[in-house]
Amino acid sequence: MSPAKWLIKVTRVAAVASGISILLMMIAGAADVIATNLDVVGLRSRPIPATFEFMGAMMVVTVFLAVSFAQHDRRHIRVELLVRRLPIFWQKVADVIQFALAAMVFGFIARFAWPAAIHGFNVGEYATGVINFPLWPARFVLAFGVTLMTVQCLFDLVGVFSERFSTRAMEPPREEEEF
Amino acid sequence: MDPVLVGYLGAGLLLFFLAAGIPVGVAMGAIGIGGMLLGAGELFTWGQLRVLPFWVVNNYAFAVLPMFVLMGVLAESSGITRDVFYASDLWLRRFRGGLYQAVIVGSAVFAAVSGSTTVNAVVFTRIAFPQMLRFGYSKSLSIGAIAGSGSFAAMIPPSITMVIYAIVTKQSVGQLLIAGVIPGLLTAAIYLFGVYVLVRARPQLAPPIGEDIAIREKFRSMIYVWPVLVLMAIVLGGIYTGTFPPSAAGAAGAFGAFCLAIAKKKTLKGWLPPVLYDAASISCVIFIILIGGLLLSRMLVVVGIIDGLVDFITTIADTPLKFMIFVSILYILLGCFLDTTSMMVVTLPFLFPVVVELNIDPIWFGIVVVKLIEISVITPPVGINLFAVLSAVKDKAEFHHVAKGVLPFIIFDILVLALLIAFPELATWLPQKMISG
Repeated sequence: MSPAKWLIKVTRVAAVASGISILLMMIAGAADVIATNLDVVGLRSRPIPATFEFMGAMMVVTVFLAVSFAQHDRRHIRVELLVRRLPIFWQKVADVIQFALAAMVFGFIARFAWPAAIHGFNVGEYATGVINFPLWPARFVLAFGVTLMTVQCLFDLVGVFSERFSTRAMEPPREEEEF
Repeated sequence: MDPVLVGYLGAGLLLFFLAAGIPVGVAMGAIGIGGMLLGAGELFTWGQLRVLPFWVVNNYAFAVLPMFVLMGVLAESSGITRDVFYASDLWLRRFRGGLYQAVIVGSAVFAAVSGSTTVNAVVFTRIAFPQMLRFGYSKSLSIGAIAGSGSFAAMIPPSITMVIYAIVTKQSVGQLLIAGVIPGLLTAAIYLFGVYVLVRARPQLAPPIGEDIAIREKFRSMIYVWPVLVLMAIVLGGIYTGTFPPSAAGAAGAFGAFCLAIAKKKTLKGWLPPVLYDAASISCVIFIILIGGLLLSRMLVVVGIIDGLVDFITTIADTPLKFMIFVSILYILLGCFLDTTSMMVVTLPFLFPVVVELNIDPIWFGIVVVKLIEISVITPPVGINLFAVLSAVKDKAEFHHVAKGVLPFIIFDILVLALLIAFPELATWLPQKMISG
């Protein structure tokens, strides 16, 4: 299997995890609202411990595991008004700049995210509360997500010159819905 | 390198990057990182990169954003919009131009569960526009009403735009959301009255009044509207009374929309995965822009450009009124090529220090900014809602129809903007009455 196909598989699994995590956030948040306000129906209110921390962690999963698939889908917001009017050559130049810059930014974030995650794991970093909620798993998710995004951007960059490395050539994104 | 020079170079480069089609979050992030490296050194920059992305995303207070996004996407996919429009249509049939009014009322109600202006406009184009054409409504005014009413989502809570403003400027999310209630309802009321006057003055804009519907039928049409109103009451009521924080309100609202969607679809099969992916990717895209914007903002602060920038802007606009005129022109221009999130995240690091310097109420400023955004998304030639609507109508209307049809609504919006500037209490009164800020 080509590296681009492998990349699509990994980004897709990450995107699925991201979708599940936003659902879990919703369930946890709603359950906590209900549990906290049980006194309204005459029962004893009992907030669910560590809901805030859990939702924070799920947010990290939601955002950083969706980032590379959003890149594959070209969902990141950009101003296309001028670029679309350029000749193909200059459009390719603009693509090279955007992918290189994106790889650089996410690469920088990844460069510092891994040591932070490893440090967090080594010291057992947690958020204090009724339950001491571990923070390091979310740090690893962030590091993995931005690394995957960096790789996706590098593939996109090389893909400008060779379709073998273009994940979009391997698997075109979903068609825009027709209204 | 002189830090102030770094700041000015960064601002210039940002414009170039945006024009070159670099994703907004990446453009701001790259300039933020580069500027910090040149102006504040490696130690500071690496520290920011280590801390900021994790802090922004692993933050319960900001969970309100993905929850509101999920609530909107679920509400849209459930098809309740169609029911809301249908009910509005039945109740407003006795008015000439009732379908215009139904679009306005329906959009206002849908805005109470969805926070995206383009989604609102596209959804109502699909549902209402064919019906309006069939009954002989003016093509221009119909499409203008849909594009204009679509912008309600930015003001009427739960508004994603408002949450982003709150995050970037470190204001209370709850207060901002509640502050949007009166201006949002006022806009809807002025739209309704304005369209009523227009149709009275030019009867050819709408067909004659049709047959009225039995009251039992009208109440039956409300079956799926009540849950939306209950959902709205839970979210806003919870925030207003301080019963739960905005993030919890968002989760409860999303859960309500989820239950509503299941009740409508009777199954979880097929529709849920794309909805979850949509909500996750929209949230992701917004957070990437926020991270980029906050990196840029830190850079501007640390290189010491802010004081110079405040001096520069206050020499052009030295009173709050002049400053608001300056901001209004800037936003209407930016609305020609930037989406609402990017517009705010790109400009607020530069503008908000001036707001503080001029002692302008940040909540009121937020509401005015959101109003400006509402106007900018429907201002020709390139307001983003106009294109959303045009893409949805396909070949049934052309650009000149939408450009002409939206003009009355721009005038109504400017009237609301003038009222907000003349009477700031319209925005600040309700948040001051909140039980918990």
